[in-house]
Amino acid sequence: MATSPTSERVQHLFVEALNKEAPAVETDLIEGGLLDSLALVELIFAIEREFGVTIPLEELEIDSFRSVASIADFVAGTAERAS
Amino acid sequence: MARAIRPLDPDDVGQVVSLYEHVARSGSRTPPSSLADDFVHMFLEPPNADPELPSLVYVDPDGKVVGFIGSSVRPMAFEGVQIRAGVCGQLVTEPEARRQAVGAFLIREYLVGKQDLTITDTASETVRRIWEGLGGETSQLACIGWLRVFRPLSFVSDYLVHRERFAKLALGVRPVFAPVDGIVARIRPGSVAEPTTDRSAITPDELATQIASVGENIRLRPAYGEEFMGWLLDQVAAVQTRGELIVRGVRRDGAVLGSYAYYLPRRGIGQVLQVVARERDVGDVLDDLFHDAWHRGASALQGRVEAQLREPLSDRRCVFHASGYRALIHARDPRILHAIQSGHALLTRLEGEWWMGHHLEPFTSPDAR
Repeated sequence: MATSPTSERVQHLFVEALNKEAPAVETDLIEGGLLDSLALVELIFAIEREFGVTIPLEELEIDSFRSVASIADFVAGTAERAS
Repeated sequence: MARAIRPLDPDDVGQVVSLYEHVARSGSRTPPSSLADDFVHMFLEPPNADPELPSLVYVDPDGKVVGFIGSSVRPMAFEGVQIRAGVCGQLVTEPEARRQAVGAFLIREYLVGKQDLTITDTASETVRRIWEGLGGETSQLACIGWLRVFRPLSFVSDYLVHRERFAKLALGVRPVFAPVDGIVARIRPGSVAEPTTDRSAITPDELATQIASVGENIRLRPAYGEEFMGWLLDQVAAVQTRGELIVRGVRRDGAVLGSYAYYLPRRGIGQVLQVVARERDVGDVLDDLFHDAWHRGASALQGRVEAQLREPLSDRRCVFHASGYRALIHARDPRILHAIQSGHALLTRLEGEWWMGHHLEPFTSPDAR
């Protein structure tokens, strides 16, 4: 899958905010064990800061954080709804 | 099968207690015989079971339970209106699943439930960071403990007996320390004030009525009713590892001033669960509590700081310390959070999971609880 500007920014957050290697866009973050609970929360903070969105607790589903691609889709959807 | 978080089902209990035994108790995968019964009793069949606020399990694609969070529902009243509080605790996750954010997703799922207020009072630092990251708050005052020492030397040995390195030494010196404390008490009487009140047993109904009416400035309080209060006190009393549960009403000239509940271990440091009194009577009720604990042989009492207790405790030679437990809260209605954070809530250790003994009790016989 081709990377989008949003997914590239999400990949960058893994390096910048979590001090982790940027995962491939379609890598399964959950099955791959790449996100523990604290890292998830830190990633949410970083996404909110980077994209200027607020992620409602109600919309924070496991599948939304399964891969960089799904996070990028989720962020785009959240930003769209906010606007 | 996809990963899923869903309400605890009776069929899950075996896996849940096995996980709990492994993570929070012995490290084995084989729980004692009656731990499962206690989980059923506490999390599936309490008298106020509410299917809208269930305990939750996290199930992996193979159908294996890799995470659990327990839920206890507490009826409460906020500014006179009935609300539901969910007490969540006993959070355990399979060690191999921790890199899959199982704990955070379980907490998140619980926080978005139908309860008006969510409480946990034994959180670790990691859980605090997750909780706050998900929009919750720390109740800073409730993270502070208080301590009142009655028998200094016995207290030192009672304190050290729980520290592995010093346990043998502490047990050895206790028979020497206790008589010295007795001599000091005779030389320096009055370190525990003689109360001017009377104490007697209090029924669950009387306690529930008192909690419902006490405190002019209290905006948030438990609204338990006789049946639930009776059940709750029975559960608290059943945690025998913490000691005998003492619940007393305090009166003067027949008029009720307040009440208290505390655990008194056979020897050692008592743990206060609740003190209820109108603001002007808190001091008298504390004096009665301290005298009762001292008279029964406690070396010290410990408790959790609550707004209405702070000054009277300070006036009675209590010291304050970081309790080691984080008390966390979450509510959608900011007025509820404000009531707690500004000290206008009656939330005690009974309104949390601190007292629960799932990690302490032996659970070795079917009628252990």
